[in-house]
Amino acid sequence: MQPERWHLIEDLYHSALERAQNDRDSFLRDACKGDDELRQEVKSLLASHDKAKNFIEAPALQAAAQLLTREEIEGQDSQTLSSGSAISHYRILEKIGAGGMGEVYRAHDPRLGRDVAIKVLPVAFCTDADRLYRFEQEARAAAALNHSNIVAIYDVGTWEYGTPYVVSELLQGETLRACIQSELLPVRKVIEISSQICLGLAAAHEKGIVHRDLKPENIWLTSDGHVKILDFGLAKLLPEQVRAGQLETLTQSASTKLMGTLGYMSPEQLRGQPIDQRTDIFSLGAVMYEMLSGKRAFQGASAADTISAILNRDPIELTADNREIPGVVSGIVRRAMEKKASDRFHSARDVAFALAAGGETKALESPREPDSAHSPWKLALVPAIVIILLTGIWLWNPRNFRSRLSTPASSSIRSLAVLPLENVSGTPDQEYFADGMTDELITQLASLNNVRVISRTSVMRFRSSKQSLSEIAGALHVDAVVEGSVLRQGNRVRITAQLVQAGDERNLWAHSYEGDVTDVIRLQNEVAGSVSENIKATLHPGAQTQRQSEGQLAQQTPQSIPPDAYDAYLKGLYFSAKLTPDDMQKAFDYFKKAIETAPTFAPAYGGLAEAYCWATAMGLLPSQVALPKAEDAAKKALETDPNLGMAHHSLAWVNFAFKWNFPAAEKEFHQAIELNANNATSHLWYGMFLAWQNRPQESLAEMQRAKQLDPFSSITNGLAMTPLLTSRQYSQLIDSAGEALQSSPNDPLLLWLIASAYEQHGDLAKAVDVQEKQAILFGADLQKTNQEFDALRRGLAEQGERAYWLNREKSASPSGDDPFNLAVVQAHLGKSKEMYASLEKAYAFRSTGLVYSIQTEPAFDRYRSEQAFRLLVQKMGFVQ
Amino acid sequence: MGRGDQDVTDLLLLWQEGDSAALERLVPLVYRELHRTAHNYMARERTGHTLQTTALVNEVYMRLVDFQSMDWQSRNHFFAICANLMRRVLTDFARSRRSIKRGGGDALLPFDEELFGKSDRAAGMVALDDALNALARIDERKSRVVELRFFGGLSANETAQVLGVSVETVLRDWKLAKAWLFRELNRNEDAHAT
Repeated sequence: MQPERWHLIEDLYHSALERAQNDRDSFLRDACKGDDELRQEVKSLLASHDKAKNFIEAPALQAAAQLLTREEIEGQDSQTLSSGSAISHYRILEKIGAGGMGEVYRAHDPRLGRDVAIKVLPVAFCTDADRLYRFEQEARAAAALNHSNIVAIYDVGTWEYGTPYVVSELLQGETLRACIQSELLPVRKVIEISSQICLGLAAAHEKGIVHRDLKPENIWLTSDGHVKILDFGLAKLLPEQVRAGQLETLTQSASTKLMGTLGYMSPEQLRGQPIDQRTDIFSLGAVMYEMLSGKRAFQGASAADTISAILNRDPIELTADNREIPGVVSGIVRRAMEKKASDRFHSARDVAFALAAGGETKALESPREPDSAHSPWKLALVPAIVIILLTGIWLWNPRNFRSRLSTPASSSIRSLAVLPLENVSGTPDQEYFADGMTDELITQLASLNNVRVISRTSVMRFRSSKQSLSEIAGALHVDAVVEGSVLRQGNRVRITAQLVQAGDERNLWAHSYEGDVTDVIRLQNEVAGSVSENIKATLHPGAQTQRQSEGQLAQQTPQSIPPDAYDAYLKGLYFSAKLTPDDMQKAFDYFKKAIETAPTFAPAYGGLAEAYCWATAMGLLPSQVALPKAEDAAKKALETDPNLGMAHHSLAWVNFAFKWNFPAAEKEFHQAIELNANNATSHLWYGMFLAWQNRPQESLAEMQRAKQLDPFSSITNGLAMTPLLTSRQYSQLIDSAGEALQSSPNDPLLLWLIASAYEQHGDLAKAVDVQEKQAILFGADLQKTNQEFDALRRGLAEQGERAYWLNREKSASPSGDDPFNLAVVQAHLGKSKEMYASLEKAYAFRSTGLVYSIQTEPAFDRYRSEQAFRLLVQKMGFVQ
Repeated sequence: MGRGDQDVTDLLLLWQEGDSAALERLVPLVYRELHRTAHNYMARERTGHTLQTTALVNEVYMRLVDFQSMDWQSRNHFFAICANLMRRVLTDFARSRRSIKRGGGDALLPFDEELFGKSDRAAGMVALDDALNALARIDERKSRVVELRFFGGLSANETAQVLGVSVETVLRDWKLAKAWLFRELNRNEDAHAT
């Protein structure tokens, strides 16, 4: 076309457009002056102009964006394969379903002579080679699962255009979606279906496979009553943006199709955060909610509304509905759907377990809804205990433990720490239960005599620690750690434990145990037995565990303890470990409660006895009051269980501190340690006994052992310095205690040790400083205390030592204090007559100070050779 | 990619200088931005906000090229290059969808429904590309106006700046080009139908 002509056309076109529609024809006729071709050209352009309207008005990008998005979500329209066509060697028979994830055909596999299901995925799924590769990997892993609650995958592959397909078993029955659309399921059926889903999920999760898209459409109820989960890992094929939570960007039509999936997605999935098995647990919760209520847990008018509901809102309480849903079941659903993954059940097995426990509640024993006669759900009638069987009651059989062992450890395990078992029950008030389990496990494992097992107080500091296992193992100087969790639901308990080698953090063994609270001793035995079996396997040949320990583990035959009694016992342990007056009182009450409910439960008596002893050792209760009770409890414990270590060391303490029967005390200490070489308290108390008996070398050895077993306990570390005081190694004591004081500057025990060291050493000015600090820490009036101690310092400076002791004598209360303390002051002042009187008084009161210090107190040195003194010592039972 | 990317800028220049390998490297980057922007676009549409189409396109460009550090002449230059690149990418995209023959680019072009009937709509984009080439042979500037506005997503003002003409000229060019192209596509469709 000539440019001139083109310009002419252009001018006429614009001029015509400026005119009204009706005038254009006449205008063109005039303007074209008979050039018909020109007139037609302009006329046709004007006609196009009128029709074009929105043509190319919106940028191409906008339309392309729309297309790109939709294509990714829906895949391109796939053509339906006709009967008789083939994919690989499979012959297509008929189309049996279609969905967002592709189309499903019934097909025949001529090689194996069976009918199969083939799912052909949308071609859009195959655009990313990497994604496709990962899908194949995952599908193959899922195929390897071979679990009765997961649909069996026979084959995966790609077909023309790289379209992926999955060949699976052909199922008879219906999807859960179809099932819940037609009827509201009885609660027991919901539990049964959910439990089976849990088992399938658990099997996959244990292999590291997360479903990612669990929803009623992906759960199949077969005609013979099984639940099968479909499409494991397929969701991984979804485009990144969809998975990454940009669903609000979908077009309406695409999002409607995806709403099915959307309503079951976890918050972390929607946010595009990393996901793990707990995402499936959320989806499971949403599915359960729908089964129970007939309504979706999260449904908004649009995708954005649904997303907002999942992220921000809790579904309407299940129990708010007029339908009767047991609280325990709605609780399980609520916990599964917690917004924070860490607040949910940690594993599908935990859900299965909780369901089994929940299914036993009274509320379910009398079903309100009759089972429909045509229902294939015969299994639903089987009591929930079947689920326990399914989840693995076989674990009870110790023979199976060995089969679960992974490769043996490369090095032997000679020391071990049981980290605080995590309370995963979802309620903080079960903390004591998890702690109690930890404690019991420590006690049980401690009976392995040639393995050092770290004590409770030292492991408790690692509760919820962020440190790695090998860091913790390093801090405790152990070769291996046991860690795990406790889940309690009503009277059901589930313990998960694993043994991990320090250093390479290799998992040597892991297992779960389930049972009733009444059987909890047996559970602990099983866990401890498995762990010890494994440890024994790591000991080099020739080294064998002592018969004693094997005997003990075997002897602790499972006995039935009422759950209430066991609870009370664990609470007693929990409070007695705190060593404060209030907590000790609570501990006594709980132990007594446990004894009331279970009068033959030896550990409850043992706990009570030990608590009484500690109370006197810490100066919380006078010996005369507490130790007869301790003796009584210890003896009762030993009647039922003669091998209870803590009863023996409690009895030893009574014999030492109260009965002054030193040979009996020593015998009981030996027996306690023989029974359980890993009990830090046994070594610690024996060490104190030896120190006060003026046997510092032996004492130091026991204290060393106690510290190894309980390296982070301030009480153990403080009391372990006793032999330094009794053997008068003052500068070493002041150094050690001073060092320990840096991490706990207000520790009363350390302050007492330092003050005593200064006082005995004769450095009274420094003793006064420390005593002042002690007084203030114990809540004395600040101003008054300062005045008193200033007077003391003045007296000391002006009149020397004597002023100090005179002041002490003056301030000693004649009724309240142990007369032994006054005797020490009087010894310093040289008031021999008064001193002997005070000692006699102390003897009559069975003073603990007297029995502790008579042999080692330096103030008595100048009297030791005197007849009266020697008689006293002899009278007390000391061998000269 | 962040706020602009020197690599992309360099690649665009290389491509403009005739380095075809640069285009191969550019296309995936542009695709990525397209996807991202597409989702943003849909989000805005869904929430009922009036869509600022130029803002949308600018968003893609801003991500691709560091316009901040360019003077306005370079910017115009790059807008032009980008529009051309976009035309290429989008046409290729439509062409690839057409060849798969497994359903097509539904609503790829906001053409009137009756215009293409039930035929393969991705073809519309490809046909438009051809028609635009034909228009360029008659009136190159009008072809470029369409390229900048439709493929490049530029406003009339920006188009005027890039081409160094008045806005009125751009609007006039647009009005004629649009009718001309529409007729051209319609004619092809008629030809197919017969």
